[in-house]
Amino acid sequence: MNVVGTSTKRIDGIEKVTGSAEFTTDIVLPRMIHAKLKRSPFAHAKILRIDTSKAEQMPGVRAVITAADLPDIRLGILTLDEHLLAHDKTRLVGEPVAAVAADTPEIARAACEQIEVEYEELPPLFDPEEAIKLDPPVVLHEEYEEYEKLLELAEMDERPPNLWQAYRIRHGDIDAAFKKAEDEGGHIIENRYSTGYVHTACMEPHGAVAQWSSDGALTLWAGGQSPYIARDGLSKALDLPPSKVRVIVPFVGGAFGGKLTVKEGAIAAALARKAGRPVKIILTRAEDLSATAARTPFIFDVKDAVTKDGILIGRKVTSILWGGGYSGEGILKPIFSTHLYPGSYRLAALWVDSYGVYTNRVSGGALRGYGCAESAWAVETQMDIIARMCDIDAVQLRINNLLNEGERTAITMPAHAFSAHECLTKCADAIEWETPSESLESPWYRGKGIALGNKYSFAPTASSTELKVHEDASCELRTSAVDLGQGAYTILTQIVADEFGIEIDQVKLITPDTAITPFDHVAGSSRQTFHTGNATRMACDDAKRQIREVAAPKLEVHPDDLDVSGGNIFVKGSPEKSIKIEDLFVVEMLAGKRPAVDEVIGKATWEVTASPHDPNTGQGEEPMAYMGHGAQAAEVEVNVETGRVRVRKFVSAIDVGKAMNPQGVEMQNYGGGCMGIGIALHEDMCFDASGQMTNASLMDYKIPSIVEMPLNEYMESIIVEVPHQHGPYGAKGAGEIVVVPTSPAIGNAIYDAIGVRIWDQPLTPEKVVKAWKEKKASGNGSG
Amino acid sequence: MKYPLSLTVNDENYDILVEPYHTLMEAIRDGIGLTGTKCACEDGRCGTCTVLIDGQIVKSCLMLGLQAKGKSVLTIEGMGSPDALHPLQAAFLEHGAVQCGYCTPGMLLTAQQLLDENPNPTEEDIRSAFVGNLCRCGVYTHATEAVLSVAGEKEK
Repeated sequence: MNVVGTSTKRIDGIEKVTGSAEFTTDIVLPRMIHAKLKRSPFAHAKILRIDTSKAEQMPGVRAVITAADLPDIRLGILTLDEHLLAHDKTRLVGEPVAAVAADTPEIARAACEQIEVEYEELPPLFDPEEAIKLDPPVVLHEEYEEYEKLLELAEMDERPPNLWQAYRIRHGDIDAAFKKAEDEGGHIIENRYSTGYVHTACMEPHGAVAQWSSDGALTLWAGGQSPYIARDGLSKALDLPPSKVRVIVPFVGGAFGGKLTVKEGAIAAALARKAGRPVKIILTRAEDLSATAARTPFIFDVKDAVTKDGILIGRKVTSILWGGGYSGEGILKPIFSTHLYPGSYRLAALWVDSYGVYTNRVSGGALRGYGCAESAWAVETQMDIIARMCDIDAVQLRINNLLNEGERTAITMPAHAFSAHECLTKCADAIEWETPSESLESPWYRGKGIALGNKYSFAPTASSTELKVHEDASCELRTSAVDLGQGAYTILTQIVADEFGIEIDQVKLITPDTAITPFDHVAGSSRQTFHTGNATRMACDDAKRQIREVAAPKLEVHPDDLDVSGGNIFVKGSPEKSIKIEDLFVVEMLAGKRPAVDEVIGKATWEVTASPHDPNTGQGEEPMAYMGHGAQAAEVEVNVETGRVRVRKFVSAIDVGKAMNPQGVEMQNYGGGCMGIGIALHEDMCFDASGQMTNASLMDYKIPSIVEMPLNEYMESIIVEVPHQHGPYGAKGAGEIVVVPTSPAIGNAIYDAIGVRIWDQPLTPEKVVKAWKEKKASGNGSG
Repeated sequence: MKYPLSLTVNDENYDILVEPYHTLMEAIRDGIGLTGTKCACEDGRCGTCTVLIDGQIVKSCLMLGLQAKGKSVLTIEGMGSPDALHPLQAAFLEHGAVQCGYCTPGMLLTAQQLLDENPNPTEEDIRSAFVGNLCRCGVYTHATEAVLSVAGEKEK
């Protein structure tokens, strides 16, 4: 039976199409009350006094908390710089300063308004290039040096006081590379790129339900990406032993990196403890968009040395991640974004300084691609510019610069299962790269663009699973991997069905619950198919080993001579000599059947170690679990009068090693393309001069609707399968690579259409019109 | 103070109490307990709370509960059951138009209303119908395929 590799329907599909799938927002518990947050109206302020007495006296209010009610503990991913509720200062508009639980959400909201907070406004700091100065106008974290940090920054003579991340790459002789380009008739190409403020904008807003038991143990339901990251965070925030915290993950209405931690859940838990009742918190859309972590902007200064034949010989990048009030989940982005500087290309010399700084804006978080989608914008636009400068076809130029299988990148990652060439050429064929776009009637212009991308999956990391075999030969997989919509539950079920030779509906998946399901790092970094998939296969092997050992004496053979499939155990080569799995169970009075020897529970942990990279050189052994490849191409239509850009045709060719579920890969290709189109063209969190987000609704923060998508006949999904030696069945993840090349592909297509570059994302109509007018004014206009 | 509200949901009569400021979405979810109708934007943009009232699309976050007095409402729970899926529900699954599933109920009801009015829609008709339904997973291409497949089946 081969279930792996087929487009098995989603195992959670029936619940989702009939409306019975229970999300966090749907959970109701007896005596449950509702929480709302009092948030800071100021981007930067001292908190002088908080008076909650009026709120506490309101009928229906059950608990009010401030930082004084919580342990004085700073939280964070690697730099512990953030209190659950603002302690003495607020560092961004919307930072929670107090919380109320009341009988209804309306009472809780009204009570928040009755909480009096006296602030002393401080000057806010928004500009990252001001923030990074050695003598910045404002310092956000005066006590930074005292914070607990789990990460070493690059050495520097003096740390700029608002800096929370510094990482360097020093590979090869960068000065020699630029000298060679200069001396030998090559090119030096230097440009500044930037990305915009993007929000995950999951359809299900952030939320949680918290309940305490009489023995002081907490249960939290929250649609997050990792029940164990959540458990750890709750344990720290509330100063509880981890064993006293149970996290259950219901269905999740999208995450995309935005649901790594459960801050609101921890606040709900603190309220629930004080009120002695279960508490539910669901953020409003405005809160969700304006006050939960976003994909904050990067500024990239890229300088490339290229031979006259278009061979990249040196690259120098200085980048700043425009962080917010706290380092947050974006803490590793200044490091991970650098993976794209070599990307799939051979680079003899690479010099990088990458920084992250505090500003009084929303904190930097994760969003599909984690820094790689941002740096791809810079380097893949740069490749297009180089190709045109050298008068070499943009696909060919990339091919000329690709690594070979077995080489190492400039960040010492081995190029294995290296499919960049195949992704690129298949993508180019599909968009008919050799054929120029048709000319349209003015003011419309048409053009094509292409880009390559990578997404690395982080390490060190681990996934564990358990596989229980029942007397009816069905299997139960216990996993803390989370299905965020990407289809993890279906793929893991397919693996179990395949390994045991049983039907899909004979596999039951026990969804994440830290009281039951074993450790899994996170549903992030495109890691579930790769890591949890491996752990699942291994747990199946372990369970089969146990079965074989029990069955061997009965069949009078060595366990190694047995195979397990389709509910039977049989002698290899003599399938007529077999017994049923059921026969390994014995009848127990009143209790049905029990295993003859022991519960059959296979257990396994898949672990990938990685060498820590020197933050001063970016060099080490193998930094990541695997390296994914993908190419995308777009044909766009640009209206130079209105600035509107329509994506007419879109091709996404990604390498998944082995398509565990081809339809699932197609869903990633199209869905990722959809998000990528939004990020490239119109998604933009806007802020006023006080730091308040001005478009915090789905009316105004424009995620793509069906209107932005090409017609179906112009959408193409290409699956490339170059097996990875460590992937289960050779598979690699697909969830993030699908948004990495999208922006540069579209930007390059706009250049092909109208001959203008727009350097900062998103490529809005205003910027298109402005760039076009500037081009016309400079006398370079065509058409 | 809560007021009585009598309405029909999925062919069953309900008598519930709602606050005058509660939306129909809240009445359906909190008053009746049918949570397939979702809330995501609160301002009518996203369509996750889409229901049909007397066969017409309504974004239930834009209508007060009390305004639905005496009306007949169809929610996702009334569209089909696990044992007897509506052809659109089956087609959404078959064509991969479901990812996280949060927008799915609203998209399905929008599609049903479209097919009720226009059994043989073109791709452009489907795109127009889905303008009011946002999906962050980006299932639009597959959802269009799914609706076209059902329209094609009906034609046969």
